[in-house]
Amino acid sequence: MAALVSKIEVHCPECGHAQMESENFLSTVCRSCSFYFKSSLASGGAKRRAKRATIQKRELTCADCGAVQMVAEEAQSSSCIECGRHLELGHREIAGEHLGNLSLEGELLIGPKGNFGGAKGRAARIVLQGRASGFLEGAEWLRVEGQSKIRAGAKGGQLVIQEGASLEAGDLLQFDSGEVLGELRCGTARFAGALRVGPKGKIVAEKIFFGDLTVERGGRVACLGEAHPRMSERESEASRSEGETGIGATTD
Amino acid sequence: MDPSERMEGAGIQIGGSVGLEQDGVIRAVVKGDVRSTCKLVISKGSVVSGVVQARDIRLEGEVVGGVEGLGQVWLVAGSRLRSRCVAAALRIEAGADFSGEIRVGE
Repeated sequence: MAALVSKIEVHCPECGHAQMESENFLSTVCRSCSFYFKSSLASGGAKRRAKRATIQKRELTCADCGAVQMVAEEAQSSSCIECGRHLELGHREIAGEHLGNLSLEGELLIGPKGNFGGAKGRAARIVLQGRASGFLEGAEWLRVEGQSKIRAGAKGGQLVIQEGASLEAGDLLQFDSGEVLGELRCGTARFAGALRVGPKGKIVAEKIFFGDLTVERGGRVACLGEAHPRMSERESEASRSEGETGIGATTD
Repeated sequence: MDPSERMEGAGIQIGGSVGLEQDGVIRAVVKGDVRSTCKLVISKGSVVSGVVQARDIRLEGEVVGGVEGLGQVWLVAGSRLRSRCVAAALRIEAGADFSGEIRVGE
């Protein structure tokens, strides 16, 4: 979880009133006399300026428009410089019932007894130990760690189902890639890229779409499957001529 | 590999089922099933209209009737399988033309 912004005491240059501000504040209004002043006029400004020069920044991509911007490492929220969307940057944990939508740039943890009951929950990373009645989007990844259910479907970067965990999905799952080390039960799932089923993994589905599929020995899969025709004929030839491993390649 | 286990040659067509008891390579059009107790490669350009059964199967060509491997089944890019695929371990590369039922580890 992100650290809270540390506060410092500043004194109003007009009336001397002391109040607490973020140590990185640029300007503020005195809560006693309403005088507007910049941080450089407040006492301790030189110290703050020196501190500001060393602020750690991180890259942030807007979920709506995709604009990339830099924000302070410790920032809890920001606004997109392109589309103005409010970006909540922190993390959130759902331990019980949560109603209402969520959109985070940080991590969302849905605990073992948690249930996301909003229409849509979006986060950069989602750890699912409980249930979700609404739709989930894990932009980077969605990791299932418990005996979990998603009733309204999900999408995102990578879907990971850890060993010993299970996911039952009532609607479409749509991810860039997948790693199933536990159990997945669903209707239809689409993986644009690679889908890997580990030695203790299991998939029972109506239909799975994938870019490429690897089921390791010990893994179990029962479904209809379809590979995306993504690779051109030339790429396919190049791939084959590189020389293959595994079971006996053709000998001429 | 024993030359007798290589069913190959330009334009070879086999009108019936084929059985192999060693590792083998099929480079032909087979209008029937192909069965082997060992490793089997269906090479590029080959078409098997029936079912292919073997311990391990590497598919580079096309199989119409389905593939059943006791061990590993490998569909390389450019291969084509539009029916059932049974295996203990499975690899379907990007670029393989696959659509059908998958049964792995059952």
